[in-house]
Amino acid sequence: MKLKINGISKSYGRNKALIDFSAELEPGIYALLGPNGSGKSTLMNILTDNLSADSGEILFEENGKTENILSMGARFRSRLGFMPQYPGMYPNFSTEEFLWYIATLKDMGAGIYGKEKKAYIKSEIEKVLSEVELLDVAERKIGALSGGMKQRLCLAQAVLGNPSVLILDEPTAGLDPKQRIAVRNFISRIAFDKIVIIATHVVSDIEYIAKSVIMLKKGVICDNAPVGDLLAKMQGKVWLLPCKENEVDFVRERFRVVNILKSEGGKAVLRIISDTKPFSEAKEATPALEDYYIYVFGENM
Amino acid sequence: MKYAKLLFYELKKLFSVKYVKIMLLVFVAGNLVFCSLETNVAINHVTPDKAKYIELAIEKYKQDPDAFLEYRESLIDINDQTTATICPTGEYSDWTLYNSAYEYCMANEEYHDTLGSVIGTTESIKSNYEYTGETDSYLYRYQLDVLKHYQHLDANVTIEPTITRSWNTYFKYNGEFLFFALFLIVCTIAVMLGDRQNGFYAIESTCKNGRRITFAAKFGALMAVSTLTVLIFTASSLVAVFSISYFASPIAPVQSVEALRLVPYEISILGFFAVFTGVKIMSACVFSAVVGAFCVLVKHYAFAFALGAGFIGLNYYVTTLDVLQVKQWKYLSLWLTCDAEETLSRFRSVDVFGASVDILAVFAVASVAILALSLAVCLAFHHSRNARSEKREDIFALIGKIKNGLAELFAKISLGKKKKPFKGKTSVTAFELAKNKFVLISLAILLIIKIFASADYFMPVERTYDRLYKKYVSEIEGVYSDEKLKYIDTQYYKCESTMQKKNSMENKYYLGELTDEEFEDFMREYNTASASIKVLSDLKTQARYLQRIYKFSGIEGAFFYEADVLHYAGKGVDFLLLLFVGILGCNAYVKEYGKTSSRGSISQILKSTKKGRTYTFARKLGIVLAFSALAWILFEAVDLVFFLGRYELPPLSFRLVSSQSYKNAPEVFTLANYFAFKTVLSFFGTLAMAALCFAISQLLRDFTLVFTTAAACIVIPNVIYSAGATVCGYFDITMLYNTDELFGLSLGASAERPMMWLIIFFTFALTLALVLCAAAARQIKKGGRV
Ligand SMILES: Nc1ncnc2c1ncn2[C@@H]1O[C@H](COP(=O)(O)OP(=O)(O)OP(=O)(O)O)[C@@H](O)[C@H]1O
Ligand SMILES: [Mg+2]
Repeated sequence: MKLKINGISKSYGRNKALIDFSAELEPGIYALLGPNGSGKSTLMNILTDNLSADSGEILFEENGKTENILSMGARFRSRLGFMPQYPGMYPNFSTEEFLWYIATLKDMGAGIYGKEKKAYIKSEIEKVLSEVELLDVAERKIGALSGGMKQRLCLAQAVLGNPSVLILDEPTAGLDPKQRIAVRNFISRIAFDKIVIIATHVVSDIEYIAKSVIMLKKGVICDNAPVGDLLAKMQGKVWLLPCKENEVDFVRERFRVVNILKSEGGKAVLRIISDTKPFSEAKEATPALEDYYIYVFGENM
Repeated sequence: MKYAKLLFYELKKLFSVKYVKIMLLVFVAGNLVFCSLETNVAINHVTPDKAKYIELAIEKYKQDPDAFLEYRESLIDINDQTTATICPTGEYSDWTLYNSAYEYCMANEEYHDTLGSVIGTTESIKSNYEYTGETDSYLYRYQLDVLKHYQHLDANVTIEPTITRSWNTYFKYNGEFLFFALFLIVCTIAVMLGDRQNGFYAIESTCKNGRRITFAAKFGALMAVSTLTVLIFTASSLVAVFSISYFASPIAPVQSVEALRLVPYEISILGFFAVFTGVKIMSACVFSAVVGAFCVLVKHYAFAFALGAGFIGLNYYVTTLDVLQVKQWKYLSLWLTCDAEETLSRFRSVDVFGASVDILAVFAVASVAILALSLAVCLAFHHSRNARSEKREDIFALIGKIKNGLAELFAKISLGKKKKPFKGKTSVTAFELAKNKFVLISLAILLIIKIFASADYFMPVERTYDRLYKKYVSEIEGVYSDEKLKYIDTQYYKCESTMQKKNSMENKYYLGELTDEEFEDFMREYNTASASIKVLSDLKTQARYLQRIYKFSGIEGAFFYEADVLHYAGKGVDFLLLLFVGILGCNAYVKEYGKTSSRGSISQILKSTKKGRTYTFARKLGIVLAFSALAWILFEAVDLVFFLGRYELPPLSFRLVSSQSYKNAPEVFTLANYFAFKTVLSFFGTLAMAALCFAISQLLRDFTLVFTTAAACIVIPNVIYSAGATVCGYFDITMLYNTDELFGLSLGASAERPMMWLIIFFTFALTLALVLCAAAARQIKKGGRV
């Protein structure tokens, strides 16, 4: 199973949101990283055919057969799960009812009928609800859920029915730390046989689970590589510099400082990104994905 | 200063909404089209070209009135419609020009004659009151006021012969109100609830100036928009009239405009135009202020929209009230204040504690009071404390509270019983129905209203005329024959002779040759005869009509009692059914695209699922059609039950052409198959209407846009048509299920091919419904925009 994205471009009027985006995706988690407005949501809406691209095509390959997803239509969508960035839901439906509706729309349990079908759907719904820890609010109306609960419900509807292509636009936005970790683990657990695309700003969410990181910069793809490869590029570019608090501004004016760790007695340790050793006191540090992100996008820091 | 700035921002916000601009353009264009159509069909409308020659003819009158009149007489005597001495190209004959000029030249005379008769009548009523001593009453004072105004005018106003036809057309056009009222509903909702809809309210209301003063600014913006709107629409009507018609000088007294002869003020056309425009602006302000107050109270755009539409309806309802019952108060209806031919067209006053107060003064005071009240409502209720945007803080909250209260009550009653858990269902249709629970509720409510409306409409009226008509026609029911005509004639002469005997009988009675009883008997007979004679003369006309169609076309027409059948056929647009079908269709997709904030809508998720597109589309369409059909069946059944229960049917095998109302109808129609035909058509018409609304709902998506478009397309042509502009009938989509009217229009459109327009109309409507639905389906299938 493969998803081939060939030269997708999209502009809104004169504003080019996505320029000649190409990638080949196989089962595993792809992290879509990029600053606000870099075109992540645009790409996802195109992948789900909520938006039509100006040019380019998206192909789905399976068992040696390659087809355009637009011509596959419902056949492709039956393999799809989508969590939009700002979803709307029916406030008058209960959590459970909403998922039943989604199950119906996804045509879950096609081929089995009657009680058996209902039992199957019911068990599936209970499974996802317990995964996103919403079982105890199953009967509550969506209008009465908290922001984070709604977010998790939206994730639940996306993964319901075991889709092969899972598209998640900022799935962890607005979640508390515990839920964030739970969701991360959940996604990583189910991702082995799925093509999962996650757009996010929280680098730590995907650092350890992503098979590959796709970097978008103003609509242009600039990286599509495993985390390890990206970190390797950063080798020898991340430095730790102990200094006095009153020297911090001086350093910031000259180097990209990712982090300022203050300690007692007016002292601080700065994490600096620089191609060369910035000061003789600086010590090389182990790079993290966030360092790379700043390395690519942090021009003005 | 602060206020002015906020007001400016409110206006800016409003006009940055795309659909507000589109709607304004579309409505102004609509107004232009309708107004031009009306101008074109106005009787004797005067083109600038023609006006030149009429003026020459008027000049002739001014130089020598006698010669003018003599020449005109001579033209009429010899029926000369071709001689053209004034117009060198011969395009306009003297006949045309002299007759047109004559009308303007005689205006002054006619005017003072009219005033004379008004004054005369009033004087006699007045002296009646004086005679009975009822001088301390409103009615007496009213007569005094009438006299005061019209005597003054009689003494001071002279109408010079000028061509004022175009002003007549302008002041007779009354389509503006509906256009700007609909547009103002859109604006008011956008101004008052737009911030709530896009989620900005949560921020706005936490700012220092974000509450009371902002709402004061919103209110001010509404007033500004109302004024502007009226000016724009007025300008567009003026453009429409005067681009077609001759621009007549507005300096003449307003009474020289035919429709405004009885305006009670001494004022020029221009002055009257200014006053009328002022009144329109005030009406618009009142309208939007009231709708604005509704918005603030219910805080939900759908309800506000419904209330706004209801307010238009209420004003319309007032216009239908009987002036004898509600007195002149009815002229405060905004429909009438915005119609130059109504409120302002003669002297009107209302009874305020016995005093007679000029309606203009009352209108001004009432308007200011309503504006103040609305402003107070806006300032007092604009904010509610539970301001979390997700929580309902509108009328639903109230409904919710009531529901919870009831639920608790039930829980207490049925101790221990737990709420049934959700069982699960797997049919898209079932879920669609769940989304539309309100449909069943509204159908039930409308059905109840329908029962009352129908019971009222099919109330048998026992008028003497109808009773007698029924009596005579039952004697001769069936196919026409000369004997029947003879029968009518005999009856007619019998009545006539009875009536002629009146004088002699009276004399005999006074002379004592008749007893009281004998005379009473005679008087009874006389009364019956005098009532019958009208019936019989109508029957005679009918008989001659039947005779004629038999002679010329060999059609065997029949006598039968038509009134009931015509009453049934002419029941007109069933606005309750229309309302249901419209809401049902329009609502189908707006919910899916509805955004609680400027963020996303459910459609994104819906469209990324297997069955969320075409499959759901088909189910939705199915539900809309099925419910429309169901509603149609129920509503028709209600009508039929009342009709059959209370009226008698004539034999249905009679030919439809027997009724003069259907004199052009094709011969094949018997009553039975006409009603069958009409019923089938109206069924499909209802479905087509439902499909059209459904398609619009997917194509336009936005709630306000969808509902206003539908309302405008459905209501405006119908109202203008009902007001008398036949051309608008050709655009009146409600004809789809008002098939009797459509049939009539079709018969009127072409005598040779009576069914042609009907067929064109239906084919076009069905095709349009299909095309729009197909376009909607394509859009759903393709994705496109989020
Ligand atoms: N409906 C729209 N109309 C016009 N322009 C749009 C629309 N949606 C997005 N854009 C523009 O397209 C570009 C990409 O937007 P997109 O929403 O894809 O960014 P994103 O990467 O998802 O950003 P974020 O991280 O903030 O969600 C932006 O410049 C945005 O302004
Ligand atoms: Mg985004």
